[in-house]
Amino acid sequence: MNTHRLKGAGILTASAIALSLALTACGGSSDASTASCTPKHPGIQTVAPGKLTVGVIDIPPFSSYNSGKPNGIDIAIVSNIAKDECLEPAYQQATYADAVQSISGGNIDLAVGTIDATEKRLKAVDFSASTYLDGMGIVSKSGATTVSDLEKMNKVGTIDGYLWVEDLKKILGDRLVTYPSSVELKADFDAGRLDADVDAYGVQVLQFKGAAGVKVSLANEKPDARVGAIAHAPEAAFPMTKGNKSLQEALDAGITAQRADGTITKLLTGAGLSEGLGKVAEKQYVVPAS
Amino acid sequence: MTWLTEWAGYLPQMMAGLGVSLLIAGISIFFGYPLGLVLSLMVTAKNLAVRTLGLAVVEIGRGAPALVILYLFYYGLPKFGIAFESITAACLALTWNSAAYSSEIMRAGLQSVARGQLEASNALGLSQRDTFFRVVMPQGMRSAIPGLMGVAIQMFQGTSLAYGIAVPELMKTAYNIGSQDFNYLQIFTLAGLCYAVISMPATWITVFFEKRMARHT
Repeated sequence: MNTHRLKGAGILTASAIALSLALTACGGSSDASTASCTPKHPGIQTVAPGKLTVGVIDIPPFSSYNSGKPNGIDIAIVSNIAKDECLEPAYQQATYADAVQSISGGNIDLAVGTIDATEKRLKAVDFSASTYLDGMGIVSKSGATTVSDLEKMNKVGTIDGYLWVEDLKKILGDRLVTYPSSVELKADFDAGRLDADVDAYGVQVLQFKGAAGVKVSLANEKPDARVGAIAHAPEAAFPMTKGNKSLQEALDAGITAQRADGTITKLLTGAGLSEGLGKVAEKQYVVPAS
Repeated sequence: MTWLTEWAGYLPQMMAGLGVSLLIAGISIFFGYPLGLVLSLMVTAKNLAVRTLGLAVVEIGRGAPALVILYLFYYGLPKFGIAFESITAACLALTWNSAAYSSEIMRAGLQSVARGQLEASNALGLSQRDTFFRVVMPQGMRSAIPGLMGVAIQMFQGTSLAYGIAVPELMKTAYNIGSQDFNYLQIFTLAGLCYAVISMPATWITVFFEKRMARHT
């Protein structure tokens, strides 16, 4: 009886191994890049062959993990590139804190979520071509549109990591409060503790859509020389594995093509944003270290 | 070596954050422990209403994650017209947390006092008040000390949650620095070391006290 059980278990185990081997073989042979699909840039190196592994940071309308069904402007751009390169996009949730570690650790190929190209960040990752401008938005009940308006306020909130934080800190001092994300920032603005909410303009347009009594304005329209991120709007791009030239070429070509054919402008206006955000510089503007 | 050089540059900011963390932890312990003692007495009270109220406060304080309580105090209360500053909200939430945890430790300590001690006090004609303050509390609190020290360490580490409500404590300082160049590993390692510099000696002291207590039982 015991021998039969052992034999049965042995057959089952062997069958399971054979089946998994067969499935693995099938996965390899069904790889789009070797079958019906011809990539625009053959031989792209990715962390998982045949796949483009993307870390998705939640910052709608640009990118949202959306319980495993990602959407947003960045997601649309990436999926178009993946399609052109015969790669299957594989999305996983990420945060600003872990995205770069995941890229350098070889867990993901790139991250999406309105990440601006800066000199400091270039030490850890490479950046793709720029996708759109990252404008600084001001939301207030008083109708503030400039940094000078913010100076007249008691408390202004913004988010850690944005390129205007250090400059605003110098101007506003302790009156500037920083938050981990847009969620906490908006909650405090709604609670009445803040006179103004300074965040990515695109995020605010969506967050305050239809909100009565508040004004959303793009600070870059009235530049203030004291804040570098307004004087020269940072450009969002996809941080990716350092030194992966094959992937960078594909991303650059894909983004440039989507800028040229108007895809990115359509995505921006479709999300209710100004098409002006799509007008990035001919040569990528990398925010200097200081 | 590069890390050490950069850490040296970040340390002044980190120390300011550490100061805020220690302040919040100190306040939540200072007010949490006496409140914990009151709660431990409420939980063992004969009056059903008092007992139920004590149990509810303790169970919510222990059952709900500290971050949820923080959020409720900071983002929830403004809906009812009460808006605390972020540090005040953090202190209140963590005080509740420390009171809830310490009350259970104190209750166990007070209940560990041998029944014979109470009988002896009764035989000596000591009042209930004197029995509690002169016999039960000194012995019960003595055995609760290691547990309370553990809660104090937990509270100090729990201050990192105050980052979520924009308190400029150690974790927030680290996150702020890390967000500039995305080198979070380096700065979080430094933050971890700062927490360890306080927590580890505190743990050793707790172990020392536990051993001393064990010697006298």
